This record gives sequence, C-alpha cells and structure tokens, in this order.
Amino acid sequence: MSIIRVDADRSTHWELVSPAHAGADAAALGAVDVAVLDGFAALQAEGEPDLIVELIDLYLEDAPRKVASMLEAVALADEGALGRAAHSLKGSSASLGAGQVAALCGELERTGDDGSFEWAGALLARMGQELERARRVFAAERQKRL
Amino acid sequence: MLTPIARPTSQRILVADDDPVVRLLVTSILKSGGYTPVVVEDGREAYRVLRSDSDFKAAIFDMMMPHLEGVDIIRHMRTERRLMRIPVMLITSERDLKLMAESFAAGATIFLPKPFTTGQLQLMLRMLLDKSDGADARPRRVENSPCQTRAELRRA
Repeated sequence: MSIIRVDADRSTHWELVSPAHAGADAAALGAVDVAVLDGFAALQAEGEPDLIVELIDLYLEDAPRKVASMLEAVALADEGALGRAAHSLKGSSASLGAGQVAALCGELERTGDDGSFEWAGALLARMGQELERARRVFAAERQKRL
Repeated sequence: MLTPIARPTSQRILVADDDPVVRLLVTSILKSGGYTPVVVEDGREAYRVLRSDSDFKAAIFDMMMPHLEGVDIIRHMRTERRLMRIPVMLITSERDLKLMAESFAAGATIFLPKPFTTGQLQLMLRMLLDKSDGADARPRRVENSPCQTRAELRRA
C-alpha cells in the first residue's frame, strides 16, 4: 500500500507500507472515528469486494495526490488550486471520519481564500502528521476486514 | 400545443463527483436502494451524458467540480425541456448560504451537506423523488436532518 509523507521542508515522499507496520497505535487513536466506517457495513453487497476496504484504499490513494496538489499550489501561490484541493480532501476526509485532516483542510481552504500563504507551509506539515495518524487507523481497520 | 412529457420510469440516477471516495459511497447507497447509478467524474462529463441521454429519475451533483460546477450543469438542465423535469440534489461541504441561495435560484432542488450518513442520503433522495413525482412538492423539515430547502434558507 502506498502512502505519502510530507516533511517539514514541504517535500513529499511516497512509501510502501507493509501490513506488519500497518497497525493503529495509541498515538493514532482518535484520528479517525471508526464508527463512521462501521456505518457503511450495511451497504455491503453480497459477493462484492469489501466496501469499507475499497473506500479506505481509494482514500489512501487519493489523499497524497491532493496533498501534492496543495504543495504545488502553495509553491505557485495559486490560491484557487489550493482551495480546490483542500476542499476536495476535506469532503472525503470528513466522509470517512478523519476529522482532524478535514479540519486542517478547512483551515487551508481559508488560507487560500485571502491570498495569504503565510501559514500554509506549517499547516501542510501538520497535515502530513495527521494523515499519517489517520493512515495507521485506516490500515488497522483494513487489516481487520481482510 | 406542447406534447406532454411522459413520467420517468427509469431507476437511473446520474451522479457526478470528482472525489472517488464520495462517488463510491453515493453509488453504493443508490445500489442498496435499488437504483442504477450512472457515474461520471466531473461536470463536463455529466454535461456530455446529458446531451444525449435524459432518461434519469434524478441527478446528484457535487457542488464544486473541475471544468463545470454542479450549478453550471443545473443551469443548462433548466434551459432544456427534456432535462427540466429531472430533480437535482447538490452535495457539498460548503456552508455558504449565499452559494446555496444562488444554487436554488439556478434550479437545484435540494442540498445535502457533507459529510452525510447513509440514512441522510436515502432520506434526501426520497424527498427529492417525492417532489419529482408531485406527491408533495412542499418543502419539508425533517428532524435532525442537515438538509436545507429553499424555505429553510429564506428563514436562515
């Protein structure tokens, strides 16, 4: 499974994470409201791939792309692109219960609104940390369902 | 004299959202309710589909999408007689009342804020289809529901 790491210098790194490293730990608890994920269990169709695993995989594939778009937007001082990427990740994060990531996206959206990128770098560094915490929870939930 | 347009019998629902997570979620909820989602990834694709296909019971659009936003497609739909009858739900993580009011003015039928639960989307869809069938077109308040209708916005 690939994930993104956003370092303090705003560089992004893709990593492969093996299931052995995929368990949620105490530091990651609270990053995702797993009750939100559990709420989708009733939608599981017989004979179809596990819906929650699919949702998690889509999120973990898509979120790093959105962060990369935000980093690029900040580098180019493109407030529209920053707002669009932050808005999009906010929606999917909130939909899957990743509340902290969604909240940071909301802040990044507003940062782009007034054309000030002063805090965007710091917010994106925090985003990297919060995404990593969320990833650990998602990975553990994924493992439970395989 | 204009020829009456037949009531739709299709269970197809057009879904346009650029977010793959929300697309899968909406699609799964629709399938669980016996509907047939026709799914596209952005507003431009939705526009292309609607140019040749109007056989939809309803449409669900994300408010903010690349190329063409949800409200732009709605404006187009409200100018085409064959598309006018299709009720549209906009889903959005925006809380901007002005934007919502503009979307209603353009012809959106109902709003569903993100994040939403399965039950909330199912409920909003029932309300949307009730309006479309003419069973009761009055805006309704649903307890604990995040939906907003025109009347609710006027009161806000």
